[in-house]
Amino acid sequence: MTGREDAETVAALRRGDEATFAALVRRHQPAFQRIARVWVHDAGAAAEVVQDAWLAALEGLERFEERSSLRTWLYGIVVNTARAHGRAARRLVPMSALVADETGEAGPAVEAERFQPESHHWAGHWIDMPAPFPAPDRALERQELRAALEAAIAALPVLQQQVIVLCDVEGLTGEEACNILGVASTNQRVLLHRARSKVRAVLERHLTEGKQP
Amino acid sequence: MTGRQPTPNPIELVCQELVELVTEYLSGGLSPADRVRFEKHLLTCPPCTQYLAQIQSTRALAAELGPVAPSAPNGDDVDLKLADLFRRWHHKAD
Amino acid sequence: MTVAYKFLTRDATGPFSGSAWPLPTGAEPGAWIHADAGALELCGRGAHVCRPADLAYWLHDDLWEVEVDGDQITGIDCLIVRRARLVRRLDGWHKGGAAGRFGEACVAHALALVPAAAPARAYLDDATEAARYGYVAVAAFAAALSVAKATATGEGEEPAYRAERAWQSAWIARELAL
Repeated sequence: MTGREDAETVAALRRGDEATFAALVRRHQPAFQRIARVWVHDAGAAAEVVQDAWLAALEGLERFEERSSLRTWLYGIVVNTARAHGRAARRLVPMSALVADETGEAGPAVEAERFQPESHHWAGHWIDMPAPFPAPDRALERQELRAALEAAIAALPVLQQQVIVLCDVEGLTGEEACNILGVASTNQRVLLHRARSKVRAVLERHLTEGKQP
Repeated sequence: MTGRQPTPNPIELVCQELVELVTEYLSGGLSPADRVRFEKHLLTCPPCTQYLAQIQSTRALAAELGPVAPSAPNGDDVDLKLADLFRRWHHKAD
Repeated sequence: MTVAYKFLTRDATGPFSGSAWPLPTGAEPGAWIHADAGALELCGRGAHVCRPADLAYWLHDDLWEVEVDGDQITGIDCLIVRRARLVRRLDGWHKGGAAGRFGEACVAHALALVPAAAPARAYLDDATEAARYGYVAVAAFAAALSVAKATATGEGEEPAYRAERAWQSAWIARELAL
């Protein structure tokens, strides 16, 4: 959506145009639900968050300044609403602590055992070739793969999960993710790196388990 | 990035370093010199080429999840509730 | 400079950009690809092409002769140019079997330079096997690494490595009469 389209959408909402609101909901509801679920695992609580977020967006419409896109502004509201939910339930960890914990995690992208040891002339090189991810042939396999991917993402710590949802699932840029979450670019990249590395590893196990010669 | 901190080798990037740089590479964040080293390494390393393909598959699969809403309470209910919410908001605002 | 070279995938796309280069039709070169206005940059704006000395670093499925035009800057083992177009595929590389012979030549050249007892010989053994299985880029790299480690002087391995790569590029240029 361009800046002009965003402005037109906002103007139509202010006029009370129900069709515009319905279209906006259709467009963003999956993302709202997905973002809420990162912070609030209970489906019922997530639905409340989504409802509250839409209300907060409407009530905050006056304050939308078009410095960001409408989409990133909306998603920022969902994140804040979801986090406020956690605060209300006294489960909220400050953002700074989350960032420190999740960027500071020990552990490489790929376990050291996959590479030749220091003593080898090819120290640091792959021992074995990583297997290609086969495209699933059958609908059942596709479904299982999707489930494995959803589970891998859901198992991530909360900020890594949020960043991979925003950047890879929802297709936002790193910069947009930074604006939505209020984290620095370097941290966003580390979070995305950790998230992707872990998810890749889960998918690799899922796709190659039981298929080794 | 974390992971093995090898002594920087002027000749080549080593696979264990490359896997830590993949995210930067894909986001265009590597310096030109590092990007050249990265790409030169890929050309001589089928395993790293495969690893990069796995990461790209991971992104592509994640992108396919986007349009699909996670399982949620009855869709119609939600739409009606939100339509109602919108009307009430607009009337309050008038 | 108006003639340069480019290694592309079998479908004539850039190995990293994935973008397709317009193909020649009959005797006509392919359409120009051109960078828009603004400074040319390594890994940024501009078509990246090889001079003969660069070839060994960029091996891929097919080798093409390229015509270039407009301003250009020197990159790292490449040239970045404003405009470029494919002139003809150098069939000697793939169809003519030069790629396979190149792998063997890299190994043979390194065998003469790396003493049998040297630890660096391990890389050369790997290069030999890679060449045998058609992994030409791996073979060339491992051979150059072997020579670099065996012949490195006080200045370190990089100069020896680059010298061996230069020999390799020159072999390709000579073999294909570039």
